[in-house]
Amino acid sequence: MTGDVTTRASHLEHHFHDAEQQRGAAKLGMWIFLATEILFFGGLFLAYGAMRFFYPGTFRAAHAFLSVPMGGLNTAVLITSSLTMALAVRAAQLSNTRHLVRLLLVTLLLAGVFLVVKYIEYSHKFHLGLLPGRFFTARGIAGMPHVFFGVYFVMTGLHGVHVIAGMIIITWILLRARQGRYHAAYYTPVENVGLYWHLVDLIWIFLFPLLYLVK
Amino acid sequence: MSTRTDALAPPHLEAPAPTEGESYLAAKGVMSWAFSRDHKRIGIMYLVAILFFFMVGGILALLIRMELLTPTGDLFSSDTYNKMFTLHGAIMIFLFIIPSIPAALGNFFLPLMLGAKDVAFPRMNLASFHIYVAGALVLLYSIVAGTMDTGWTFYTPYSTQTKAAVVSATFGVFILGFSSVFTGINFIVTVHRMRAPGMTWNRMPLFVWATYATAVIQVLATPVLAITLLLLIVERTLGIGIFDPAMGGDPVLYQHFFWFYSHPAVYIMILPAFGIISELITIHSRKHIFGYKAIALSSVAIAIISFLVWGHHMFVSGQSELAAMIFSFLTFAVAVPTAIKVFSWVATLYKGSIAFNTPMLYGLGFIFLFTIGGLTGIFLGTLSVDVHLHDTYFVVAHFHYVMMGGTVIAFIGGLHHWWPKMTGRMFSERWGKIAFVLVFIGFNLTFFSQFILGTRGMPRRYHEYLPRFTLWHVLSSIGSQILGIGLFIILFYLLYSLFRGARAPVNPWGGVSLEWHTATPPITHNFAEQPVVTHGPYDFDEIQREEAP
Amino acid sequence: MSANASTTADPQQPHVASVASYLKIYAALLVLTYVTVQVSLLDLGDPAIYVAMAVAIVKATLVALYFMHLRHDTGFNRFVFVGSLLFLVIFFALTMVDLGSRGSVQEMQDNFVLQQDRAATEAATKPPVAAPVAKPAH
Repeated sequence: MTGDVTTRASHLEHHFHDAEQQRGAAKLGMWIFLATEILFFGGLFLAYGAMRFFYPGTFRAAHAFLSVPMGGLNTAVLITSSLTMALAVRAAQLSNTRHLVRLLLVTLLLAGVFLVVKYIEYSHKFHLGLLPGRFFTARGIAGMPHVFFGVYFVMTGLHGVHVIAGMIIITWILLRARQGRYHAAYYTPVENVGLYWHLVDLIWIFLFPLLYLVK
Repeated sequence: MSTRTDALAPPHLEAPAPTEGESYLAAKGVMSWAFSRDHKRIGIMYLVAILFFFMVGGILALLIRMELLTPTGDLFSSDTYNKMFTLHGAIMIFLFIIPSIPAALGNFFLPLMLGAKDVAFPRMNLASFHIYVAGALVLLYSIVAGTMDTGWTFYTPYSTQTKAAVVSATFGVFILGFSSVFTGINFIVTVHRMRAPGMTWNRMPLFVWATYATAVIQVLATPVLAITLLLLIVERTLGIGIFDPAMGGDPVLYQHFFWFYSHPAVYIMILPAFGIISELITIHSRKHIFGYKAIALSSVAIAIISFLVWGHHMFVSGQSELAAMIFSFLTFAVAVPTAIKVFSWVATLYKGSIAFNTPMLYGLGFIFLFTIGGLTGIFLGTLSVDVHLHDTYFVVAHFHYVMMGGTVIAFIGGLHHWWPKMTGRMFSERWGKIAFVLVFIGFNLTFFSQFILGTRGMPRRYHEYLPRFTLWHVLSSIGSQILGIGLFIILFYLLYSLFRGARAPVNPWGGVSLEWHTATPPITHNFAEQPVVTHGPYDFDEIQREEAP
Repeated sequence: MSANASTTADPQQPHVASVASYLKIYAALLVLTYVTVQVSLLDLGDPAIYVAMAVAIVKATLVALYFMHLRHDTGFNRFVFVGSLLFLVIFFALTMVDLGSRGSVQEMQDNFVLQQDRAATEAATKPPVAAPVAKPAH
């Protein structure tokens, strides 16, 4: 049989020969999942591109109503959370549970800040009637602004959903880290959650200029 | 009953100890199945589910064909008819054919063929099945909620404005997509990371190559369907204005989104079928496959090229002529790797020792039926011809020839081929042949008539028609009855075999790939000892030479 | 946290980057963010979107290579990431070919006149010419 039962580590699943195979498999699986997320959001970027192509004037006029400082702040917040996440993975690699837990906590808090800023932005828009599609009631923007704001809310909204999902899995990892489950020999879940979180950051790196900056 | 004995089993693989470890079927109770992480049990659960939905979709088809016996709409109102063909399409595509071979046979046999104990992520595999059930329930709920009448393609602007239950139906399909993606991720990682020692890529069975290429498509294409459906739901509820022209959108943009998934999706349907045919042809003619590398690589080539041709569904929708010309040109390209496979199978048969048993009959039937289906696809891919044939019965006949004459025939063949291994029982070879003849004749009568209807101008999705089309519709409907009877006979004798069938030997067909060298039915952990591979999966000649005195 | 850059020869041990290296990448990302905001304030017109995308691609590459460890990972994981982008490009490219070329061939076809009709029209409205002017069919 593959490996004496008594010497197999508790985290090693029965259908894998060794930890290296399990780790490699988990990581590859995560990268393929990230590929699906890229294709998923990619469709949204194409919808953005198509609508921008059809209504360049509207996009130019409407994007001025997005707050660049807030968007820029959120960009910095997410990039910082990516840093703390990467450092958290590093802490796990070095079996440093204390730092791992703290860094995960900071990442979580930064994600929370992102959502708060987002909430402020959204409330501001609701207040002005800059709503998606048929709910758009604001005046003074030429063209088809309801299309722009529809695209804006769907893209940032779906991204926001992914941030929330990320916060949930980071919390889960955090709780398990506090139990001392992750160390140099086994930190795959931390690494994979990290990969997911970096992807969320990556998507925002493209969302920010396209929605907030480009006229 | 022509079976081959274990006497031809290769001498350099250890004979398995069949009583070591329990059969995977041993553990009893609903919970042991519903929460099983065993890929074989998950495969069987999928098998039962998809066969059930095949029956539901098939009954809808029989009802449709019954309506079409006469030129006037006697049985159903036009509204009801619209809902029926929409349901038939949605159930057949999303609940039956997309999961069919990968989730049922792929799940069962991929790890066995690779010499692994399970797929890479057994829990994700179980999740995939549970998600499939959840998605199916949501989709079926939409029937109760008012059904959809948009056609399975949900084209805008009708789908954004009709009162039908579009949101629940598309949400159901959205959920089903995750099931497909999880299966795809699992299979890719399993093939990359869990092959037995000695199993190089060039020693993998062609069914594995086919399933791998399919998994790549599942992973890349399905997310685009997900975003398409999500945007459709958002368009319907929020009125964004990306797909609905009344709100500023472009309905052709929806079609680009939809077909970017749905064209590769048809290769999700056919590639695993190609994989099965490779197995059937080679084992049942007892001859090493001709062009192993060509067939293996053509699967990957088809997977890639399949992403380049989606616009051929949109030739008359309002797409630009330039785009239409580009897509038509690229569509011809996908025929090349496909034809390579057909030539290789025929070359394999040449000078083979062909056993005309039930699995082989389905294999041969596939080559005939798929060739017709595939060639008519090229007719439709020719831009100038498609202008006349689009939205006629010619298209309906084409896709039924490839999906049913192709995938379903291959699926049934594979089901028979691996039935002994999965269940430990042999089915009645005599009834197998009878049913095959009924299915083959019934299928051709049903759908060849539709090619003729199409070229004479009969439009699709109509429940009434001009009297001059009556003869061919009647023939088609008669054919559907014969086909239905044949399929029900298969269901009966397969079920019967579970209770009264002869016990199957370990290797009834004399196969050389790893799944034939473990217990029948397999033990829970698949192999008593980790197999080590020293030769390819079709090395019959080598074995026979070794057996010579 | 000690700056522990372990570049051990042991292939089983994954590469552990130093804190300093992560901070350097972080700084670069913030700088690039600042740059892209500043550039957007200049009115570049059409090229603006390409510049913004170029900066975004650089930032994304840094995140992927260093934060996501692709630099020191197996080639296949890199291939998966890049491969998915390739299919996205196909989706974008062919769709935009359609959106961008609507009406271009149709325009030609609206002006298309059969050679015989053209000759007949000319013969009826103009004095006879020595030979019909040969024009391409479309």
